[in-house]
Amino acid sequence: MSSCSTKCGKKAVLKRPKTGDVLCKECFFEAFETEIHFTITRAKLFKAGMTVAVAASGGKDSTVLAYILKILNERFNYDLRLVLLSIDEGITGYRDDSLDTVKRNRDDYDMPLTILSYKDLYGWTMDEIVAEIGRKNNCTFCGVFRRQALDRGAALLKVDCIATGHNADDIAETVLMNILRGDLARLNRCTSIITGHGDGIARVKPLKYTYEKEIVMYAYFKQLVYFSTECIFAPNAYRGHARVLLKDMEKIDPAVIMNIIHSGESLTVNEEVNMPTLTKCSRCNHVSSQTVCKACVLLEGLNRGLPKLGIGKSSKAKKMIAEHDKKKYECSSSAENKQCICKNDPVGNSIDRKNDVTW
Amino acid sequence: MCSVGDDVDEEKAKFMQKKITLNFTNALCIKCRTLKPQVILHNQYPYCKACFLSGTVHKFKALLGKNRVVQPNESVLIHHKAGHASTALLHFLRTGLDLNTPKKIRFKPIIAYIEDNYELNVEDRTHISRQVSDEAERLNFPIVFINLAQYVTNKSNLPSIVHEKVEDLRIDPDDNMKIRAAVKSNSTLTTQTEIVHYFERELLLKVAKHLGCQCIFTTDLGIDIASQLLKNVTLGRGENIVYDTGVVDSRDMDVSVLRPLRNFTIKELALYNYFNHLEPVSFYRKTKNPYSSMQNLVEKFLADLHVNYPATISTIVRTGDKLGVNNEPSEDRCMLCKVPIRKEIESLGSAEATNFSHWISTQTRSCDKSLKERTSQILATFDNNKYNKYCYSCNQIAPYLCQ
Repeated sequence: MSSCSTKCGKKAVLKRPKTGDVLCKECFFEAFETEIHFTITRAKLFKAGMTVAVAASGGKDSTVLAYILKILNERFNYDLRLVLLSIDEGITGYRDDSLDTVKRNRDDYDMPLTILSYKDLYGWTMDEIVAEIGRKNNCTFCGVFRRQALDRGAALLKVDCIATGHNADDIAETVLMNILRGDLARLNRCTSIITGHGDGIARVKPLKYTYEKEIVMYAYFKQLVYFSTECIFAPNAYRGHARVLLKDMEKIDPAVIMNIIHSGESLTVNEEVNMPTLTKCSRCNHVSSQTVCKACVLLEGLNRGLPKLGIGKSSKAKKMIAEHDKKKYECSSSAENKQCICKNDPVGNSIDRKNDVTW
Repeated sequence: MCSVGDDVDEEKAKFMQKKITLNFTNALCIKCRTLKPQVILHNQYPYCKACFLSGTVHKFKALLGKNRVVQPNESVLIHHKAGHASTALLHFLRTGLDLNTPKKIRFKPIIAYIEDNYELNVEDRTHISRQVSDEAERLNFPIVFINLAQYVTNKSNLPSIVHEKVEDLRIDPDDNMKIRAAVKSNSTLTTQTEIVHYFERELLLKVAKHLGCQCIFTTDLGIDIASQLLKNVTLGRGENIVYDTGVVDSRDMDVSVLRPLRNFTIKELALYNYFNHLEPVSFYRKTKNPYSSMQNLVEKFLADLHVNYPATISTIVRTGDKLGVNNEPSEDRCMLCKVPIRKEIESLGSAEATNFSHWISTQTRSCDKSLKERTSQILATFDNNKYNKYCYSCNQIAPYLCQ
């Protein structure tokens, strides 16, 4: 490889996909760190005195994020209190191993770690949910629960904001995906570097303009400990056409990622279009676009023995609940029918009917 | 962290729908409910011939009626691209002009045929141009012929290259070289395609002004619109989407561009031509290597999608319809594509982040200073303001344009 683009005289070790420049190891470290510092200061992600929870999974993105926030915080006196926040979905053979990595990060970077489990928050582990619903749609539960679990954890720890490890590749892919799916609301907000400003705890993406490839290279050169195994319930997990298309595009020109983010940033929804408004869930008080949030619907389904409830449209959920209630009413009113299963269903009967709101 | 399932829709799940296959053995036309269907549209709606034809014409007229960009007696330039779409558009117009009812079309169409089939030989190109000329004669429309290569080499003298007769159109074997000479040779095919696209748009607008037309009709179909939208997104032309894919492009002060076929599929127009006994100008187009340019890749991707997930094309088009532009209308416009340029914005954007990455990757580190001092120096010397003659995407292609 040719010599470093900064003319420092050393031999380059990598070509930057974003700009095509080639850098030596030392110049790469400095450029990588300074760029994230530039992003943080220019986009005003943090204020002095803030407590920031780093959403840590043990993977490459969150490990690099925790490490870099720590060194930048010390180098440029951000005056931040950094904590690690992990969610334990309860997936044996995947999350237990990756949580060991997070625990090592806690010791290495000297940051307090909080682990919140689905079991504590929702009463179900992912292993139990999969046993109930099977391998199809299980990712729906995991995704919905995780999103809210981070918020709950952040509220519990009384932090001012959550930093997530979304990188440039993730964001470009989301833009493409939302266009293909026609999801305007998400297309509109997926490129924001700070989300959840008004209500709830702000989420920031300090690695928004950082390529996945460079994150891997940085972790590799710095010998950071991270965990790289796929979830056992979603091996070869993919986000469909958008990811395939993006990977193909990158082969032609890696700068495409920044182009797509630029396009996403310059898009806005026409004023005449009605957009869903975010309100609060009437049950758990978390941010939701519905009266009852998706997490509560899914949980209700699990507890009532209707795990399919909430997969798909909410009108279907309403219908299913109505049918379920009707059936229950019928069999409890007919005294002869002693064999009815719902009599043996302690979970379904234990539901406090007064709390049932209209869906 | 796992991102699967993050995108779960809370309401109105609009997942990409797979193609559905239905059985239409005993079906009746969905419109008149009496006749046996002859056509199945969107894989699920059966139509009889009469209902299909009247529906197609209505769809065309509805779009014109909804967007009253053309006034009576104005001239409209029709961009002829050879193929089903062009032939159907001309037939729509001819039937509309020949009406004696209040629904009669009252503007004057003029066809413009821009010759740019450079991958073919001179005989084939001449033959195609003659076929286009015959079609215009058959449907009784005035037509002009322009060779794109001649325009690129001689931009100043437009009247000398706009020909009313196909015999006057000069077709040279080295036209391809002339176009290539306008773009620097170290450019990628993606950039070259962008620049040729820019030339074509510029030429169309100039011809329209030269012929006194206030409006241009293009033959872009739904899939072309979706493909243009995705191309714009991947090339960093988010600002252009509204202009490049909307019903009306009013970027130019004098001439607006209308896309009257944007709600049609090629199947509908091919069937329309078939039922009306119209033979479109057709020729063999070379298959493109999808990995040679971003534009080819997007086209290939959408063509595949069209086969397996046909509804996604219209999802993309509808998404585009609901988009607006992110900035206040400003006086500063990109020198090439003429979209309003974003003013120096408060928040950090992708362009600035990229510029900063390039800046820091090309500055020599002074090792006698501390890391902190070096960082402040880099931040202090970085100037993002020097790139604002063009929009984000044209900034990338402008250096390859030979003036």
